[in-house]
Amino acid sequence: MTDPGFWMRLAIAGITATSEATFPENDLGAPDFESTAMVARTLEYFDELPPRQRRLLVLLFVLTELCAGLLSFRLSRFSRLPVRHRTWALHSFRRSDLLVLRVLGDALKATTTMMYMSHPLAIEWIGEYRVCDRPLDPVKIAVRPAALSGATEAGR
Amino acid sequence: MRLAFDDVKAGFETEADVVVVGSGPGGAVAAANLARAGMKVVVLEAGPEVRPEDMARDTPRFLARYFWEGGLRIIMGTAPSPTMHARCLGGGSVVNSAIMLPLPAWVRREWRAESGVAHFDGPELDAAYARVFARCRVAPTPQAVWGRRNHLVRDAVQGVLGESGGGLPRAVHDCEGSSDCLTGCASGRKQSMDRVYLPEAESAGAEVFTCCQVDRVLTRGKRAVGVEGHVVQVPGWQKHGRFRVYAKHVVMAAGTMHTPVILQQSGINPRGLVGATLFCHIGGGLVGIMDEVVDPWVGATQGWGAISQEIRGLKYEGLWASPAALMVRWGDVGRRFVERLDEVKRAAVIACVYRGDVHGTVKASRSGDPNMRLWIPEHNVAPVMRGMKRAADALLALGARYVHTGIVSVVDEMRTPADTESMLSPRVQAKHLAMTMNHTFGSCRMTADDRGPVDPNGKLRGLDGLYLCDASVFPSPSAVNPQATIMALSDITSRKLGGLSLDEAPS
Ligand SMILES: Cc1cc2nc3c(=O)[nH]c(=O)nc-3n(C[C@H](O)[C@H](O)[C@H](O)COP(=O)(O)OP(=O)(O)OC[C@H]3O[C@@H](n4cnc5c(N)ncnc54)[C@H](O)[C@@H]3O)c2cc1C
Ligand code: SF4
Repeated sequence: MTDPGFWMRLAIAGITATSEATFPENDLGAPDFESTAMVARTLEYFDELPPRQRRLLVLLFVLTELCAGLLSFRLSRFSRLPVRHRTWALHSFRRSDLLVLRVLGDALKATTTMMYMSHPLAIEWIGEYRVCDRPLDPVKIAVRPAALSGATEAGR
Repeated sequence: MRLAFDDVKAGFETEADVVVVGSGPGGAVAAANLARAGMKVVVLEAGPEVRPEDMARDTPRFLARYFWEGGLRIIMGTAPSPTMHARCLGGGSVVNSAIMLPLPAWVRREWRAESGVAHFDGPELDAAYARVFARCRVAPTPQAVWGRRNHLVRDAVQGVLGESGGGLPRAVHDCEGSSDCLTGCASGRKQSMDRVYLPEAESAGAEVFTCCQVDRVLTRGKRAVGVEGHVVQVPGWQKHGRFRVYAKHVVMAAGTMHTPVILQQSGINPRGLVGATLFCHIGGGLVGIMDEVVDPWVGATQGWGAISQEIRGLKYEGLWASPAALMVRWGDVGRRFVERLDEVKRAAVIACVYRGDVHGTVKASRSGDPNMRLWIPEHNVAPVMRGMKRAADALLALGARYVHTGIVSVVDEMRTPADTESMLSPRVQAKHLAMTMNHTFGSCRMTADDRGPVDPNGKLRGLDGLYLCDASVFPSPSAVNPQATIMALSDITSRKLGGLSLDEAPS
């Protein structure tokens, strides 16, 4: 594998640290950041973005890796903090009275949630399905055509 | 004729009677009318066509490819909020929920009184709505495709609150109830512009160019004479050849954010009024976690709604989208969020959309993307929160285990009416509102006098040959979903320009 370079390595550390903090390994049976390949898929997603937005997201995760520790009162890179502390940090950023921390927390939560929830394992875990198929769609979601009529009967 | 990236990548130069910039609801209606009027029409759309095979349920990838700024656009100001603008053939009509509502009578009266534009409250607008509704096969969403989620919204808003509503009128024929509107309607039920008005324009001779991003309007003296820009490939985002289209008339329909940006970048800004205003609907969403399994992914994306009689300017709507898009602000992070994932199937979502009297601006940034700011007066918070509290109480009355809003200053998981009282606390400020602003308008207002840059004929003041046919001409917020009014106003402006009758019966 080619070396992604200094900034990208920092960004990858930030993505990994944030993904693990938002979707940690768990005993609930729910998929986690690893089984949903969040880091690799986030990088693929970056490649889809227009150049400016890609740069902004890379910067977001570089800053997270470098500064989120300090912002949560620890003198350390974010990825070197225990998972529980990272989760707590993201939780508190999103509830902060400081706009910049709220925006940072919301942006991290939004990016990781979008990546996690679009993985087939997460889709299956929440029980999501559709009433009609998209035969040409590479993302396969369970299809239950009869569900609509059942729901309508129940709603009447 | 429809031209794709491969047909245009080397760049081109051409001539037409009219060049239409943007193929969303505003541009598509204008293109169809002007082509029917016998004019040689060229439509330039920055984005690609989204074919059924491109309509993948991989939400992040879809947003990245077919939305401006990859779907990551934010309106800054009081409460920085996401705002989504499609970048594809058909514009917003491809990704929206296709709700089509005419302006309420009181908004029409206010628009006319405030702007002085007679047709805002005249028979011309009635006739235009009738034509647009007939063409898009607008009909109330049939109960058979509501799914349990829309039924619950009805039970809460109408049953508990006594607000009367119904199946939302939408530009959809034979909906399958797939909840997939945000990533395009692969089965072709939604009557989006790539399926309704643009094919009509093409059969009347219009040429539709995709992947062609206009950079500026060309002028000679006090007249617009065409546009120029560059070809962009998606995915990849590389810039390719340049193009120029010379035309007698330029119709700007690039949407609320891009029309003012293109004009500003062209040095066209009569009296500094272009982009000097911006309006958006504000509000918020409530997620009720019910005792029963709702399976919210079953049923029309937005199938039921009610215009509040109790709070003027407020609308309740049922809502769903793929969890990857909908849940980005939902709940906590870490284990506490993961623990809640098995509750998603019990969710019922009510969106509260409020007209408000926010104001803002749009300015071209150095990168060419719009820079948007919006200020929300504090007095707008009380009606929004009152509407949301009523909806939250209604969901609890229906047996919701708890209700969640994503607003940091209210109780996180509201389980009792005492918890929902927190929504009325003075601690809740405009900066706390959590919303996505998808109804944006009014960046180049149409007024009878020169307070707005656009005159009642849709022409930009101070420059001949340049017309505006999109959401940017709204004089103030519409209070209801804007697409029907964008199309109807574009119908009027383009009929005047093309010399077509303003009272032609719907076909
Ligand atoms: C998720 C979502 C759901 C919505 N649901 C509803 C709903 O149910 N009902 C409703 O009434 N409204 C809804 N809306 C809002 C509605 O879609 C928009 O108000 C409407 O599409 C605006 O129409 P428009 O023609 O003004 O601009 P747009 O639809 O934004 O079209 C402008 C077009 O111009 C193109 N363009 C921009 N810049 C350039 C350039 N430089 N060169 C060439 N082309 C350019 C864009 O790519 C775009 O295709 C929704 C919006 C979103 C995002
Ligand atoms: S709910 Fe599904 S079938 Fe109905 S219009 Fe939307 S995408 Fe099309």
